[in-house]
Formats: sequence, C-alpha cells, structure tokens
Amino acid sequence: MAANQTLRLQNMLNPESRVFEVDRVAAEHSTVIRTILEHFDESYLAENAIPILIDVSDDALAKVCEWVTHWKDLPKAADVVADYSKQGGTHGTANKAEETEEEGTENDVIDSPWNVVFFSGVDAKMLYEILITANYLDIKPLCNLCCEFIATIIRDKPIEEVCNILCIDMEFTITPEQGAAIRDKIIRDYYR
Amino acid sequence: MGSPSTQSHPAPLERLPLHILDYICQYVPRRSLFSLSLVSSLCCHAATPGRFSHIRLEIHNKEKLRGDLHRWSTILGRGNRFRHVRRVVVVGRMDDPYQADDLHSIIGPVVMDNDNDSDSDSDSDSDSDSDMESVDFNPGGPTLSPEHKRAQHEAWLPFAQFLGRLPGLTDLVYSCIHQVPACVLSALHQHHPKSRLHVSTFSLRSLYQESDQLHQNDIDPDEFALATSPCLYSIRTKYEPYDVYARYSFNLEALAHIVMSGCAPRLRHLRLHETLPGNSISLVEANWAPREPWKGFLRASPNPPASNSPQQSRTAPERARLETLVLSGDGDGLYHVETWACRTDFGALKRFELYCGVSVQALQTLASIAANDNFHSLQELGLTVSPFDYLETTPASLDQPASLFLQALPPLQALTLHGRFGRHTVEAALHRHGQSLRKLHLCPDSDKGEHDDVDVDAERVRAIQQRCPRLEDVRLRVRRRQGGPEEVAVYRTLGRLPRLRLATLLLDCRAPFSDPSTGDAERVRKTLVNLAIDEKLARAIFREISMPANTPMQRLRLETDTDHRITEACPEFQSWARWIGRSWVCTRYGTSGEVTLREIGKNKAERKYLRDELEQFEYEGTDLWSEIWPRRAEDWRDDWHSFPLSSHGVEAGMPGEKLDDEPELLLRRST
Repeated sequence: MAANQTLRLQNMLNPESRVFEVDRVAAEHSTVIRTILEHFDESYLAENAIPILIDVSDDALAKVCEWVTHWKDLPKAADVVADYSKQGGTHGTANKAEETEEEGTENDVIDSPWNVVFFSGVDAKMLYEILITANYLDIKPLCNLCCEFIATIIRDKPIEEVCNILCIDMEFTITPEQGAAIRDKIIRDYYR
Repeated sequence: MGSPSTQSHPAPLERLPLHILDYICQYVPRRSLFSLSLVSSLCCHAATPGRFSHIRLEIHNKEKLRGDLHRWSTILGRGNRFRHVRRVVVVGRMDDPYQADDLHSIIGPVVMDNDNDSDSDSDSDSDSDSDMESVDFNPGGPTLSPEHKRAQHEAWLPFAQFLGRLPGLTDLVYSCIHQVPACVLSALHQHHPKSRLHVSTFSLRSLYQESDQLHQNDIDPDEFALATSPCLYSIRTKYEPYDVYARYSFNLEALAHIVMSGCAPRLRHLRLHETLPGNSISLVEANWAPREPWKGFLRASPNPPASNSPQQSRTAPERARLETLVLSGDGDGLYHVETWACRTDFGALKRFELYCGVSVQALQTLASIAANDNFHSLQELGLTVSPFDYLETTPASLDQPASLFLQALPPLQALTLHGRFGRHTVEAALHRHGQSLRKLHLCPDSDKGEHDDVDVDAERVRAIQQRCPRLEDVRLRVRRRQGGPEEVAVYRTLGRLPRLRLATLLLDCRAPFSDPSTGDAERVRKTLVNLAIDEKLARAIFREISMPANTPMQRLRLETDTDHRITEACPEFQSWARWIGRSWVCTRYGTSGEVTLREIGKNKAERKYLRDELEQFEYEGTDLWSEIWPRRAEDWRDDWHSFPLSSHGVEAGMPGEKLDDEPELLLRRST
C-alpha cells in the first residue's frame, strides 16, 4: 500500500459529521488505525471512510487530525495499550512529575512551541474531547500531551480554582478555615 | 478554562476513562494532588495512589516509631492503600542507651533548615535529594556492640515488618545518623530485592582502626551486608582519612572497591565529602607517616585493594557506571578528577559536581575529558572555580580554562557555579548552555571587599533573559542600589523569563568601595538602607518579578550579604546589620493565590538575642541609625523600615528599544 495514501475518517455516531482526509503515515500514529489497515484491503479503504465510533465533535476530530498531520514524521508508538498497562493503573503508579525532574526528560507540552500554539485557545470541553479521541484511537503521544497539559494547568491551584478549570462542582463542603488550613499545610510541607 | 457547571451530567473530566484520570494524576506534582483530591470523589480516587506514594517517618525512639507505624497502618489499611506506597523516608535517630556518651547521639542529628536546600522546592516531591543532603552525622561513630545491636534490632523490627507490607515499595531513603539496622536491610532483601536503597549517612564504622591495630579484624558482618547489598543505589558519605584521634579510616578505599568491583551492582549515585578533622598532635604524626594500604573487607579473602592513586587505577580492568558523582570538601580537585576518572566512566554521568579547590591543570584535565566526548550524558554540572592553592594559582587564571571546559560540554540542563569565577566563565555558560538550561545558579564568593564582574546587574540579567529561554530556577547575586531604577530593572528583567518559577537572590547590600566620593559614613548609611528588608519590601520585590501576566513565578527567596570591613567606621554596624538584614521566602499559592511570606534564617531565640544585643547601644538620637530612622516608636529598635523601590526601572530591553510598559521612564530618559 502506498505510503502517501490518503485515508478518510468519519464520525459515524454523528450523521452530519465531516469526512476528514489524513495521510496514511500521519494516521499511523493511531494503533487502532494501524490495526484496521492490517485487516482491510486497499480497495475497501479507498471506497469507505474509517469509522470513528465516539461521541466527540468534528472540531475535536479536526484538531486530532491536525496534530497527527503535523507530527507525522514522529516515531510511532509500538503498543500503547501495553504501555498504559505498565505505567497506569492504581498499583505502583510512578509520578511523572517526579520522573521528569529526576530523569530530566523533556516536557513536550512546554518544549515544543507548536504544541503550545496547538493547545492555546483550546477550552476545557475541547481539551477533554481531544483526549478522549486520542485515547479511543490509541495515539499515545497526544494522550501524554493532553494529560500533561491538564496537569500543568491544575498544578499549584487552590481547590476552588481546580474546580473552575475542570468545570466540576465541588462535591465536598469545605469551610474557608479548613481550606486555609489545607493550604497552609501544603505550603509548609511542599514549599519550605 | 471554564466555570463550575451546574450540570446534571458529569463534567468532561469525569467522563474520562479512569486510567486516563490516573495518568493525569501521574503528571500532577504531589503537593497539588491534595487539592485535586478534595474536588470530587472521582478525583479523590484518582489521586489516591499519588497521595500515599511517599511516607516519611521521623525517628526518635522505639515507642514513637511503633505509634507512627500503628497510625500509618490504620490509614493505609483503608482500601488497601499499602500497595500505593513507593517511597519510604526515615530521618532522625533512635534513642540508644548504649551510646549515651556519643556526642552526636546526645545532640541528635543536625538537620539543616530546609530552606537551604533548593531541591525541596522542586516539583519532584522527591525526598531523596533533600533528605540526602540535609543530615549531618559522625562517620566515625562507634561500632555497635552485640548488646547494642540487639537493642537496635528490637527497636527497628516493627519497621522491618512494616516494609514487608508494602508490595509496591521502590525506594527506601535512610537518613538516620546511625548505621542501617540489619533487620531493615534483611527485610529489604527479602521483600523488595529490586528496590533502591539510598543511604545519606553512609559509613562503614568498623573500617575505622587504631594505627597500631590495623587489619586485625574483619569488617562488621552487618556492614559487609550493607556494602554489598544488591539494593544499594545511592550513597552520601563523609570521608576523612584519619579521625581526630588519628584512627585510620579505610572508607575511601572501601568505596573505591565497592564502585569498581561491582559488589554493590546497582550503585549509581555517589556523593562524597572529604573533611579534615583538625590538627591534633597524633593526627599530624599520622599524616606524616606513610599510609598503610587497605587489605580488604575480610582477612581470609582479601580483595585486590582498589587503588587510591591514578597511576595504579589505570590498570583496573573495568570502570563503574555511576550516574551521579558529587565530590566536595577539602581535597584537591585535580586529584579527585584523575582518580575518579579511572574508577567510573564519566560518559555515564548525568550529574557531576566538583565543589573543591581546583588548579588550572584540573580544569584543563576536565576540558580534555569533555573534548573527547567523555561527558556525553551529562545534564547537570556543579563547579567551584576557586584555587586549591592560592600561592600557586590566582582566581583570574582559572577563568579561561573554566570557560573552555564549559564550552566543551554538551548542552546542560542545570549549571551551578561557585567560587571566584569570572566573566569568561559566565559568558561560556550562557553561550554554550543558555538554550538548554532550566536551572542556573551563580553563587560567587562573597568574601571580597570589591564588587567584581560576576555581580549581576541589569545587563547581565538581560543577557540571561535573552539567552536562557527555558530557565525555571535561578540563583543570582544582585547588588542593591537603595531600591533605585537600576535595581528595579533587574527584578523586572528577571520577571521576563517566561518559565521562571523559583528564584533565589543574594542581595549584595554593600556600598561600592570603588566610588571615591563615598565616605565611610555615607557608605554605612547606604549599606543600612540596602539591608533594611522587611516584609513590605520583600513583597514588593516579588511583585516586580511576578508582574507579567501568566507568569509561573512561584517562589522567591531573598538573602542578604554585606561587608563587615565597614565595622571599623561604625562599631555598631554589625549588630544593626544582623538585626535588620533579614531573609525571606515569598511563596505564591496558585496563579491567582495570595503570596505568603516567611522570614527565614533566624529562629525566635536568635531574634531575641539580636534584639538584646542592641541594648548595649544607647539611643542618642544623633547617630546614623536615628538619621535614617527618626525615633517614632517607644523602642528605637522597632523604628526601622525598608525604603520603597523606585516606581521606575531603567530600560530593560535592548538599547534604544521602546518599552511599552515603561512610558514614564522613557519620558524621564528623554529629559
């Protein structure tokens, strides 16, 4: 199959969804699409769009297509699912913020000006849709970026501000005194 | 990004798969996880692994330890949180009836003020570095007797059992002043053979031997187990060739053997501080006598002695692959570099710090190693650029070779310079590493009377701002100028570093000697005005630095430095200076959160002492103090206050560049 082949993607849960055209090499960032390409022949893919079965807007899908197209030359992740099973989960989870400091790994969100521009102007709803889409399509680097971006914007924020950012109503009742005590304890323990 | 919704359906975050939420929490620093966990049950659930990933235990006596462990067991027992614990840190000392005559046991560990430790600010929440750096201990403390060991075993056994209940444990940081208890080491080997043991008080006490009883005993078996532990990963140690009683210490030889032989196969990080214990007669005699070679851990099967000299080491078959090597103390930098280059592959080092006197040859050797690409993995460098021998080397002669060394290195992420580095060294640092630096600490010696060219002014800060776009953490010496426009310009230019989060400014309060028009009295007056740093001024400086919108600025530490030679002109000066020259930490909690200030460096007792010290000076109403601060309060000692910063800064952009935010200044300049 030609490397410069163009693939078509369409959100089948939305009858009015646009059809997105993406270079095959860019679409291969997605483990799901790579699997599809292995199991469907070229003629079928030439006639049919690859179905996206997730409730997200076209705008979010367009952003994901924009990202994979820009980074199409980036090395592709081998096995996203395996990676999550290693690093995610609730057992023995490593803190990435800690690893970033200790191992000196790159902070992609901050280090690539293009990524900063990509995320600028993206509101909370759009950000989550991009993340959900990236997760659905198994696009590991984009998933990482979104997670890191969300973490960046909620770090060091007071509880009320975190609620604002995440568009969540506070579920627990905390008095101003309790909030101040928590804040003081965090400052004492972590900013000394 | 949004406002709290009053929606009936879940918020977008709560629609994410739980494993994605977990993944987000892995990127959030631990201190922020506590806020996140109070947002909703789902966030609380996702943040739980991070919240309980670190445990810190302060050790005082066995009763307290048992109480703490009981409390932790109760907390971790809910929802099986034991599995989340990854790192356990123990600090302090266990009461020991058998060691009551040991001075260090009586006074306990000297734990430094955490504010001295920049790592405590880091995002990493990694206790390892801060705990690894902050404990003072006696490396030559007495070896444990059998009774003593039994008592230690009994006291530490509950902790060893507790370790067995933590299936996810990856790191144990041991920062107690006495030896790692055997039962703890056994528990680690039994339950967590792949975990990493960090020992910040590493010393093999049984390798201290009387000079007339050398090699008569094997190493203590428990210490042998520690030295050869498969878990041993990180060591901080103090090395002295002889202790104050002129006893031999073979610790350095043993360390060289451990590193080179691979008997502690996972050892990757070594911090070695060399000390000289004094100059007692017996010690002087020991130093004059030829040093006996070490014969190994065990008399029955002596190891090939790991050599102590570069000539011998060059024959060693293989070098270790340490990732961190920190060498500090009284030793000769050249000797350190040559010996350790033979013991470990510098190509594997990610962090190298050399905090001891150096010669031109030492820097040339380092430059040569770097030029051969033997520092190719290096990310962090710390260097003291001061002569080892002031009779042979002048500080100025080190400037060029230090700059050549820096030029030969790969781009660094963190750079710390101490000592008497000069203009070329700083220029090389910015030129070669500016684009990649995240942390830059320039810490020039402050024992000189004259301001030198490493003092930071607006021009130097502008160079840093323009050439280090990724800088997040900076430490600089900044000259105070009575809060004038030039000083304000420094703060504002710092604020233009787009990623700056942590800043430490050593405020140089000296009035320059180079100004001939400044008499002694005027110099004292200016210095006092510079030194007067109260909460209001500290807050104002923080405000200047964090003025740009969306600045990530989080924490500012202000320290003062002055010139005590001025005392000849004004005997009261020292007491005044200590009273008003205060250090502060300003912390901002969240981008829109309030700024909290905390005075550091003096506790209440010290503050009271300084206040009492001022009583010897009777208020006359005619001295410099009252000239600067006319009496208003009942107690003249409370009259002082800071002087406000100028509302203008001199131009902080390029010469001739228009500054949109400083129209008034442009007006002033044009007139």
